[in-house]
Order: sequence, then C-alpha cells, then structure tokens
Amino acid sequence: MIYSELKRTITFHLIAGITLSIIIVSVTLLTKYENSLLDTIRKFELIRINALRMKQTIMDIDSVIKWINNLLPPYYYSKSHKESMLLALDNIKMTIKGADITVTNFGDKAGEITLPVNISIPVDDYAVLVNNVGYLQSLNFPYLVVNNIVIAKAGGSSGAIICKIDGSLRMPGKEIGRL
Amino acid sequence: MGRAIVVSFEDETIRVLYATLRRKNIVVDDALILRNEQFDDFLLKEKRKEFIVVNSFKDFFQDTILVPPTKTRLIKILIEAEIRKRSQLKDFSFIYTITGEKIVQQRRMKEVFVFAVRNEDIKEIVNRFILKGKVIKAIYPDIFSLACLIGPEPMPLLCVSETGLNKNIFLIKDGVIQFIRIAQSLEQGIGDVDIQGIKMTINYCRQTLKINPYLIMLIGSLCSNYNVTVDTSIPIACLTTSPLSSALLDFISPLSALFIPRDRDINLLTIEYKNLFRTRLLLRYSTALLLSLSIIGMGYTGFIVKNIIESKDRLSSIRGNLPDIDNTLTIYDMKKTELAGYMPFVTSLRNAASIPDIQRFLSLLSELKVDNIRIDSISINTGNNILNVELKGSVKTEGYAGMQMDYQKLINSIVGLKGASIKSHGLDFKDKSFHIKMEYQ
Repeated sequence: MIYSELKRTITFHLIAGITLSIIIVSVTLLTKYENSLLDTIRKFELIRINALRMKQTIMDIDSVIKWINNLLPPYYYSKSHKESMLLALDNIKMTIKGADITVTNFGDKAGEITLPVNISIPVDDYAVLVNNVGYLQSLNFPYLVVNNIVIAKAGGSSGAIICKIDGSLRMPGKEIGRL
Repeated sequence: MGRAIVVSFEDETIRVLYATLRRKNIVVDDALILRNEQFDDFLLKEKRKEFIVVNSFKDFFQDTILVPPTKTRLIKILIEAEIRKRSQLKDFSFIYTITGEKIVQQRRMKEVFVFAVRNEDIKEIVNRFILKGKVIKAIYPDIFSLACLIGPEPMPLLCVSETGLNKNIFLIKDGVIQFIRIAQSLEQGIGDVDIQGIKMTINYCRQTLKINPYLIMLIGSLCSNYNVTVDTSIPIACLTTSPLSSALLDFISPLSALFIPRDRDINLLTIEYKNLFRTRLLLRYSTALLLSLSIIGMGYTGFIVKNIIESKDRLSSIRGNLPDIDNTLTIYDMKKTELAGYMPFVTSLRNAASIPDIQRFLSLLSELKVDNIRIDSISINTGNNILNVELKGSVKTEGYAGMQMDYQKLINSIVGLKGASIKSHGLDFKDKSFHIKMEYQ
C-alpha cells in the first residue's frame, strides 16, 4: 500500500524521462537536418561559383576564338590549304629579296599538312639576315618549322655568304572552326 | 530555509506545530491542538505533504543489554537478535544507544540501552497518513525527542514529562537515555503522588543501575502545573530556559523534534518505509536531473532551430541569386564544342612556339667579341626547345699567346650570353682554326 505513494513521483519521473527522450530525438533529427541544410548551402555555393567560372570560361573562349580568327589570313576560308601554303611561299619569296626556295611534295603529318622547304638567302648584311629569319619565324599560318640553318661561305669562286634554311611549312589539315 | 510540520500524538490529544527552519533559528509559525477524531479531517485539509511525527508509545520494550565489541553493522544484528530473544517481539523497530562498557567474565562488553516498538504500532500511525496521501519523514518516540533538548550533561538527570495523565520518567547521563519508566497518574500536572513515584524510581536507579540522579528535570507542561507539598530528596528544576517561551511549554514534545541532531538516529520508521522515502528522494533527484537536462536540451533545440531558420534564409537567398544554370551550361557546351574546332590551330601554334627564338640567338651572336676572329660557318640544328649550334672559324692573331687570348675572349663572351652554354670547343694552333659546340635555350 505504501508504494502507491510513489505513483505520483514515478509518473513525474516518467514524464520527465519521456520529455528528455523526445528532446534528444528532436535534437538529433534537427542536427541532422541542420547539417543537411549546411551541406546543401555548400553545394549551392559551389554551383554558384562553378556557374560564374563557366561564364568566365565562356568569355575566355570567345576572346580566344576572336583572337584566332584575327590571326587567320583573310583568304583562309576562300582558298584550299595547299593554295594557302603556296601563297605563303610566294609571300616569302617576295619579302626576302634574292631568296632561292626549293620545295618538294606536300605531306601529312599528325593532322597537319606539311611542305618541306629549303630557303637559300644570300647574306650581304648580318642584320638583314637576322630580320629575315625573324620574319620567317613570325609566320603563323602556315608556320615554318626550321630544322637546320647553316650560314657559311658558298662554294665556288664568288666567296659569297649564304644562309641555308632547311625546314617545312605547316598548317592544320582540318578547316579551323569546324569539326 | 525549510518548512516543517510536526505532529505529536499525546494520548488522546494531538499537537501540530508549523515551523520554519532557518540556518540557525527555528521560527514557529503556528500551533494547533486537535482531538484524535479531528485528525483525519485535518490531514485531508492540510495541503502540505510531509510530516514529522512524535509519538508517545504506550507499549514498548526497553532494556540494557551487553554485546561484545564488534563492527557497527554486526552490533545492530546482535542487538536485534538479543531483543528478539528477550522481548518476544517478532516484527519490531528499535533504537539503541551505547551507554558504556563493562567487564564480564574477564571480557570487555558494551552496555547498550535498547528501545523497541512493534512495527504494527508504527504502521498504524504511518498508514493513517498514507491513506490521506501524506508522507512521514520520521517518527520519533517522544522521550528520545525530548532528551535531545537536554545537552550532553555529565551529571545524571531524572527527567519527567507528561503524556495525558501518564508521567514519563527517564534517566539521562551524558545525553544518553539509561532507563525509562512510564508512571500512571491520577491527575494532570505533578503532585505528591507523582513525587512518590519519582522517589521510587530514584531508589531503583541508585540500587539497580548504580546511578544517583542529582536533579529532577521537569519538562513541558509539568513546569506550569506543579502542586507538590512533600519534600523531595533531590532538587527539582524546570526546562523553561531560552529559547523556549512559556507559551510553547505545552508544545515541547513536537518542538523537540526540530532540535534533533542529524547524527542522532532515533527514527523508528520501518525499513520498508525508509526505503520508500529513499526511493522517492532518488526519483525526485533523478526527475530534477532529467528536467534540467530537458531544459538544456530545449535551449539547445532553440539554438538549432534558430540556425536552421538562418540557414533556410541563406539558402533562399543563394537560390534567388543563382544564375540560369541550364542556359549557362548550354552556352558553355556550345562554346566548348566551338573551341574544339579551333584546337588544331592551337596545337599548331603550340608546336611553333616550342622552337627556340632563332632570331634572338642570331642577334646575340652579333654581340660576341670577335677581335681577330673570323667565323666561317654557323650551323644551327633545332631540337625540342633547344638549339644545337656549331661555330667554325679561325683566329687571325699572330703568335700563340695572342691567338689563345683572342680565342679565350670569344669563349668568355659566348659563356656570357644569356641562355647559351658551351658543350665542347677546341683551337688548333697548327692551322689556327677552332670549333665550338654550344646549346641555346
């Protein structure tokens, strides 16, 4: 009979225990939810940053394409690749006075059209030679790959100094800007 | 600060005392005198749950027994067994006090005064409270409770208190009860007949207990109801000194319960009820702990909820500020595809850029110190990001030392060229020709 006195105390104890249990469960669930929210925020931040990066990349691509288009010769899309290379040869001959150019056949190497070329330039003035070599290296469409340069006296009685450039003119085989 | 209600059962009268316990003081808030039949109604009406009870037990067992010196836990068991043997009581609660030591048959024994009451009598009181939903914190025998009012006086005192018409006569030495006698009386207060009974008790103490009381101490209402004409052999005194006012003399029994030191174990509550009280206390502490944790948890929950609300707001804001992802992705893919079309050109440019700057190298050669030096040929082979260069020529200086000096100047000036390093070189003194192999990158 006397233990009936404990009923109220036990009831309060149970209520307190249940309350604490509910709170612990709530705290656990809410903490998980909070962590999930924070994770979502982090991911959204990442998405936002990536989107901004993509926008920046799009702008960079645009500027690169614009820059490449500026580098292309005006006749690029109207003439064939071989024509373009031969035009470049003509330009070399016109620019470097006295240059003797020998070419062999067109070739195809690693997706590029190549045209082996030997250029003999008489050297009257070393400074002019340096400028001519600079011109040849500045060609970019097609560009000249120099394999070997020899500056030496020419054989024979003339005693003139000749610069012989052995290399190849190259340009991409596919049309640029189209896949 | 705590509040206490003490109920004192004194024959047919029940005295109730309301008091507030402060650090050093006890303040009596109220006092009631009830008849036995009024008490149940009082319990029903009283809102407070916990009570301290002082009871004047009519039927009890008292004795002084001898136990061998042993551990406290074992002493209790020995005493219980001894009471069971001597008193014929089966279910009882008891109080004991060690009054001294005695040598019996060359063995040192402890003298213990025991006071035992049937549990049935205790339960009768306790159940009266339980039935009304009340709790008894402690139940004290009135004599032991009153004895606590008298300090540890080294001289033996014969104390006399009153319960109804009965006179409780008890001997105290060093604050420890040595003997109890309940004397029946014809009237309230103390008269000549009672003095005769007291004298007989004194004689008993002297002859049997070998203790000679030096003072008769009247306690409570007896002090105000003293009608003695005969001479007493020893002096009589009244326990009326401060802090007890005369108005409270009638309530000395319940009041004395508030002066019981904590270390004095005179609580006669049964083990069963003590366990109940202990369990209840434990449950209360546990409940308080759980509630405290719940409050902390609720606070933390609130904190998390606040964070969640903030996070949700932030998420909404980020969502609102997000660019059009689908559109951006479409444009990005388009541009990437478009750029892929230009990649052959980029690759070609990269290939072209991998060849070292021949023009610059030729310019650097013009800076060489070529005094008395004639360069006959320059041969340049292109490698991967490197130029392999071979210079051939001759020194025009006469004399070997001059030849070597001018050649060395040439070598030094080549070494001074930025990006150039000589791999091998040689000067032929026979025909004054030289060759230098170098790298430029």
